[in-house]
Amino acid sequence: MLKKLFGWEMRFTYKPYGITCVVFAALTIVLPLFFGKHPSRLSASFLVFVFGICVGLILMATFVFMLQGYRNSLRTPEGSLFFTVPARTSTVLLAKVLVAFVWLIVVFVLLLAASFVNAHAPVGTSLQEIQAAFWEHANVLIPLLLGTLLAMITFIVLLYFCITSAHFSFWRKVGGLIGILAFCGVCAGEIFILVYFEMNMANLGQYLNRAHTQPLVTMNQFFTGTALWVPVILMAVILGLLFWGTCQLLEQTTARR
Amino acid sequence: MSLEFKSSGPIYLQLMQEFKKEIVSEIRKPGDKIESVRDLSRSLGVSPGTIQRAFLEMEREGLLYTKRTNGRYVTQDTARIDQLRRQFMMEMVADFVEQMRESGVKDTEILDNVQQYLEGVS
Amino acid sequence: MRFAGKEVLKGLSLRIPRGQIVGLLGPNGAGKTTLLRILSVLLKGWHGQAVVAGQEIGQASKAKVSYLPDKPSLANWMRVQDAVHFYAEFFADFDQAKAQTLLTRLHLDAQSKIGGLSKGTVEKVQVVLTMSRKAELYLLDEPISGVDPAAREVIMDTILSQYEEDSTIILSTHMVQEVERIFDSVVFLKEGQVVLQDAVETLREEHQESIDDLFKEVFRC
Repeated sequence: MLKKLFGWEMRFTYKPYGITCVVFAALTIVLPLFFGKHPSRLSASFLVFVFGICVGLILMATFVFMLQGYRNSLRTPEGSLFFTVPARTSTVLLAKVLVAFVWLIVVFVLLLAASFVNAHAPVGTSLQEIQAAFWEHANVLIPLLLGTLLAMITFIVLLYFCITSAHFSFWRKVGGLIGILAFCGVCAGEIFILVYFEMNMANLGQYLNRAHTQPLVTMNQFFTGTALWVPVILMAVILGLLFWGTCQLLEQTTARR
Repeated sequence: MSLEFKSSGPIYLQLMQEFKKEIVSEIRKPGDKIESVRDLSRSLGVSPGTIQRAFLEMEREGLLYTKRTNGRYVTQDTARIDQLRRQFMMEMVADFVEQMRESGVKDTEILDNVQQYLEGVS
Repeated sequence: MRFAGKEVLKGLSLRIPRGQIVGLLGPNGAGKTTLLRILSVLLKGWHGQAVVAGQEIGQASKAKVSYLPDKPSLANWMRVQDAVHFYAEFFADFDQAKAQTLLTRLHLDAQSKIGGLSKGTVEKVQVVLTMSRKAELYLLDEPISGVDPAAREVIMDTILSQYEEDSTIILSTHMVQEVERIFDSVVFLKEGQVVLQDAVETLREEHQESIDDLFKEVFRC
């Protein structure tokens, strides 16, 4: 069921994303590759400027598509088509989140590739060297990577949560405002939690070390490994809560009125 | 059968009346198969339930019978059909006579007028 | 089926036996669409109890209920064929062959895009899709409003032709005259409450008038 929903959700939404990605890739990857690394007439700063705009546009476009796509599924009749299907609300929501997530990944990969191409990667850095560097710091990079992916999904679910709560007829009049406030609030909250926690990691580590005759963990280990998993877990918990919250709201509001 | 039913009265009664007319005038002969509820409901645009009710009533009145799961047929009981004919005729006569009476025509005049009309036609 | 609701529908209690074609009649805003959306499990947040085919409504009942919304629910970019595939994929009781036969019979081109079709044609497509499911309950919300008379005939015929004895159809409309012949019974809904529910023929016999006239009487003012 999830696969089917995912497939159809893709069919329903691929056009805007697809076009934007293709245009972006054409402008920032294909063109530079083919038109040489030494554009004689255009200055470097101009190119950087253009590149920056492209990046900004694609990020904005992606955000708008995600927002609009989800709003449509709540507001338009064809959107509610998905909810008439004999599947649980959580499954339908999950399919939508995953589709948005996939597109987000695609966009970031494109951004990475574009940056790589346009920044004329430092000579001598081969793929193997990058890989080696990665594995050396894996215990930090992996939770970081996972944390980032989770953050992306959380971002999407948070967005959906805010849009859904803005749909409450009860809050209809201030709905949009509530949505935006909630969004900012949770973002701020997440950042706060992370920063606070990171700042206190040092103290925590020292405290733990003092409490035992033999340190449970060395400072080094603590900093470079396990501790980074805590924000990841926190993120996962927030994600879970937001997802559950959105489902609950959807259960109430698959009305269009 | 294509009929304009008046929704101002029960449709099943009108349907029955139409059927009876067709049986009496031999458009439907004894032993003829009747359309299925479904087909009739579609061609008339009327709820199957209504059709079914009409059929059941006519079965009760002995005008139709069901052959197991093979469909419905007009009764082969010619006596019953004759009875229906007579019923029909009497109903029409009653209607006619009442109308004449309401218009102030006397009973004796009615018979004369009928005779005249028939002689004029034939 | 029994039902009791709130707000837009106030203390509504309704029981509909299986196998009937029921007309849900009332002026705009009476709560017809709300009731149908509740029964199709699209609308939640109501209080009370609703039972369909012996089962409390929920995800499982969605599989037994085929819902035709009052507004078009197919995306403009979809081709008719895509819509058929959608239904086929998600509804186990969808008879694809039957749907395609019906579409052909109604001269509906499977390759045409929904966005390019007239309102009446889209309605026809939706009716075909909805009725091609072998459901226990069909909920049709205003299938003939805003549709030209010719299309109306076709739609009614499609409904009647797909009707099975052991399934129930609830059809809501405010155009009573055009549809009243296909009903077995009607429910009059006024401001969220049932003001009348009876078999159609009984009502005609009692009041010696059409349901349309009765409707106008009941909802005058």
